[in-house]
Amino acid sequence: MNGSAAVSSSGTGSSSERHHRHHHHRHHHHGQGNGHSQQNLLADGSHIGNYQIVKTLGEGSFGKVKLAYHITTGQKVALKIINKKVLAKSDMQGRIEREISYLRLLRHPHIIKLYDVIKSKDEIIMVIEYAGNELFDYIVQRDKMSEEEARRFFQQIISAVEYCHRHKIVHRDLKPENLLLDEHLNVKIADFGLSNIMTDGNFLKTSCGSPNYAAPEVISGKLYAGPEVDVWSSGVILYVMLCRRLPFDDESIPVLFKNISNGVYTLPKFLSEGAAGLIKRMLIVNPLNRISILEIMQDDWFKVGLPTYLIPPELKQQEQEQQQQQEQHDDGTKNNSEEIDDELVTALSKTMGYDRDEIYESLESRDRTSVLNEIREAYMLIKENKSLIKDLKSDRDRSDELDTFLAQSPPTFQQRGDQNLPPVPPLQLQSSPQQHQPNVSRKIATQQRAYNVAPFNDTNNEEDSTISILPTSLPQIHRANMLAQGLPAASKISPLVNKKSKTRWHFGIRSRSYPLDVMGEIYIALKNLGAQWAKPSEEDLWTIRVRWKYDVGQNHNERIPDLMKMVIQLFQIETNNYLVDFKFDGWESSSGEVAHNPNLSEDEMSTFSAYPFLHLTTRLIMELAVNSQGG
Amino acid sequence: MGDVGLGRGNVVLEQKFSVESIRAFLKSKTSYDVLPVSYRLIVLDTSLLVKKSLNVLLQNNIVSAPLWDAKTSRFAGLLTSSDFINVIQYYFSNPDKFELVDKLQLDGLKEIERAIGVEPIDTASIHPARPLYEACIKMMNSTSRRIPLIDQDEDTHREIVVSVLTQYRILKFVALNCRETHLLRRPIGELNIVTEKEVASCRMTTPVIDVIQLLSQGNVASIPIVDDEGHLINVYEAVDVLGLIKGGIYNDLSLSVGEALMRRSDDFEGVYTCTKNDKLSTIMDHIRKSRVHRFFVVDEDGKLTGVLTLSDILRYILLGETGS
Repeated sequence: MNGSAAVSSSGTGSSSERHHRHHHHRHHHHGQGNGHSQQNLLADGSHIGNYQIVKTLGEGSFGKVKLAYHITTGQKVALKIINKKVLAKSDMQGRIEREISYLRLLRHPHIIKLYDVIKSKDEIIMVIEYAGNELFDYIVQRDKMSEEEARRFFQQIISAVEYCHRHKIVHRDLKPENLLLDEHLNVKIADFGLSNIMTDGNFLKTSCGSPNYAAPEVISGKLYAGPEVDVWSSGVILYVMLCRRLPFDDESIPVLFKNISNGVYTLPKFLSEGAAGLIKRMLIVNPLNRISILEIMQDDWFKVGLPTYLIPPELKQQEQEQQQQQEQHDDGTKNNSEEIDDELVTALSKTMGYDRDEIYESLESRDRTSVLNEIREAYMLIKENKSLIKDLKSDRDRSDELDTFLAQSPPTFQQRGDQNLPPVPPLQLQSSPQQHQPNVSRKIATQQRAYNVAPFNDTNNEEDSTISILPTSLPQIHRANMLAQGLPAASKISPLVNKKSKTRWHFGIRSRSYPLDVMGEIYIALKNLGAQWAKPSEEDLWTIRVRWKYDVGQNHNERIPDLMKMVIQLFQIETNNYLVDFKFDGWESSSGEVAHNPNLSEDEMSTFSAYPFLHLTTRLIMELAVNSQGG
Repeated sequence: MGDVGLGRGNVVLEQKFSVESIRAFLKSKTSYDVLPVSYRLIVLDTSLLVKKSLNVLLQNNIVSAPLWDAKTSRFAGLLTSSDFINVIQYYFSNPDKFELVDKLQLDGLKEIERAIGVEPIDTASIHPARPLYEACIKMMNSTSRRIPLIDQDEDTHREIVVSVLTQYRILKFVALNCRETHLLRRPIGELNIVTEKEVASCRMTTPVIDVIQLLSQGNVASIPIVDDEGHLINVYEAVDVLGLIKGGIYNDLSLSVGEALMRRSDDFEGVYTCTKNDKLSTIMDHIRKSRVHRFFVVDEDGKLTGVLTLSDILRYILLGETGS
């Protein structure tokens, strides 16, 4: 706190600055927690919306997680309660809520579903799919996992990760706590997309100081954490499943960091050549040389027994095209445009609250404004949800699993869609030369999602104005252009996020010590600093009137008051919690002459410069801090 | 007022009339009048570490702050992005002095500035009760494009930092309060206020340290980035330097300016362009609505031809249209 001071324009301030760090305790989010919530609103046994809270499951880095059930259907859900205070950029609340709504559209059989979002004044409550077990408990309980079994889990994980990456969401924090299992031994990844939204993106602080799963670029503090970090973490997870131990593990954190940064680990001999080869390519230190998720999906070891529903549309498309090319050489020109699915539009307007006309407009126009893009992305997402279900259905040998996926589906629009599937629109395939084009443009579109175009329409009847904003100067477009040039260094630079100041303002300083001890400390500090005080009266032991020479060695004019007066007072805020308040009380001259008016009003007091007062108060607080450390 | 189409002559007369009334307005108001009813002021103690002061600026989303010397109990100048530019340049030419740069306090900036031979920290200030016009003139002569308002308390004669006025705030004040700005309808190309020659520019691949040098040599707040044909693509601003060295990392100086700009926050609104046919009336309108600090003048093909800064506009309002 030395030195930085702030005053309000009104001038008087008996406040001092203190920094508050948020300490997050990260438990397993499905482990046992001590379920006492202070808020009655969220107490066990109470209702939130249509959910009855059963108990606390644990505490995640963003808040409590509660088990609840849907009152009418009895379906178990987990409620993730996010205190709005931990949200990044509280001034962008609207955008964050939109982001969460976007997450709600994510539908993948191996991702914990977000069913609903309930907003209250202080909290955002995410109603999520409940999965009772952790993959890692399962690994630990079993002696050894066969490569086949590990591959099945791994395929599910990679497919889920690929799905999210395709929709521009990077997990950034894949680790055992986030890999859950349902009763049919299907993996469910939790917390996708949350790292984008939350302030607390600091891995080392939030993950119990255990960075075993974090990629080198993450632990080295590089700001950029792109999809490659999820590849690394998945590589570590695959290693753990196959070897029953961590690839990077050391009691000493510096050694651990060094091993991760240098990619130093050993592969046991019993691994098959295919598995070892894949792990090697996933644990490459340079993120640019690391295998990509799509490449993993084309890996021979990975592909063994891969169910169709886990293959992303892009790869499916490639395969189909190859087939088509073999089967028939020419089939006339294909129609590139797709018909808009009315059903999807209805669903979209329901979940995201868009106007139907707005959705049609966004899908039909080529306009690249942020709102239209956002809608287009959301449409693509739910469209894919539908075709995913179609794949699941056609995968006959998996019809059992299909039931479990669908049974888990929530009382939202999707369930309706699930139960009586409308005819899935014929997917018009694009011919291969154009295949990459839409992807590129879609990427730029996502980056623009957050951008709001400055309101220019209302420039009053100045039709001849040629003032405009240079598109290439917009950060999102600039970044896309730089990345398009393929500069290796460019991909590592990420934009500065203006985090909200974590500084909170308090009056005075707080203490939990015995009040007489606090007073004793203050007297000692004042004595050490050479201040004088008046003997306190019997009635008021808790107020000290102080006179303190403010010596800046410059003003030798004797008529200028040089003794600052201060009132220090101890207040009780609650049991065992006290506040020391410092108050400016005018000036006195050491020549004995009292400043012209001893009884200044508050208003007159505020005409004095606040800086000398802040300076002396800072010195006193620092002295108190030194003493309390010594004691 | 000249609604009848009297043609060009009328436009010229109205422009002159408008500038004169804005000037009269500036003379009739004080700096104090510009201050909002309630505002926040962040003052930094000179014993604060330079790198911490950078964090304070970034955290609070500000680009400069007045300094306070607790030893003398006096205002100690204004910390601006140019001070950070000086530190970067010093560090770049003396990489062995890393320790020093890391432990540098704000009151140590003077020595750095002496070492690289640039102007020391700006200490110009004005009393809030002086006419706004006077504050503008004083501001124009200072390098920081802003002026601190310093008062003294009557009894102890100690200084009070009241606020800091920027060119933007004054022009926005004018745009909000002077209807006459609507009469500024002469194309800016006619007014001889656009800086056209000697606009230093760079390419996307220029090392950022060279661009920083251009900022400091030209005493300008931004350097336009153009392509091979001279089309304007982007602009590097002096305030971008703050984000570049956040966290005390000076390694990033090897980056190209294009890479350095990837650190720009997504909140950046974009670079404003105009043509020489635009009028100050529309420009003032934009100043009223958005936080714009300069307009880059381009031709029909988007090639850079000049720049119109807030200083140029202010100078024109203060001193222009005085001829016949």
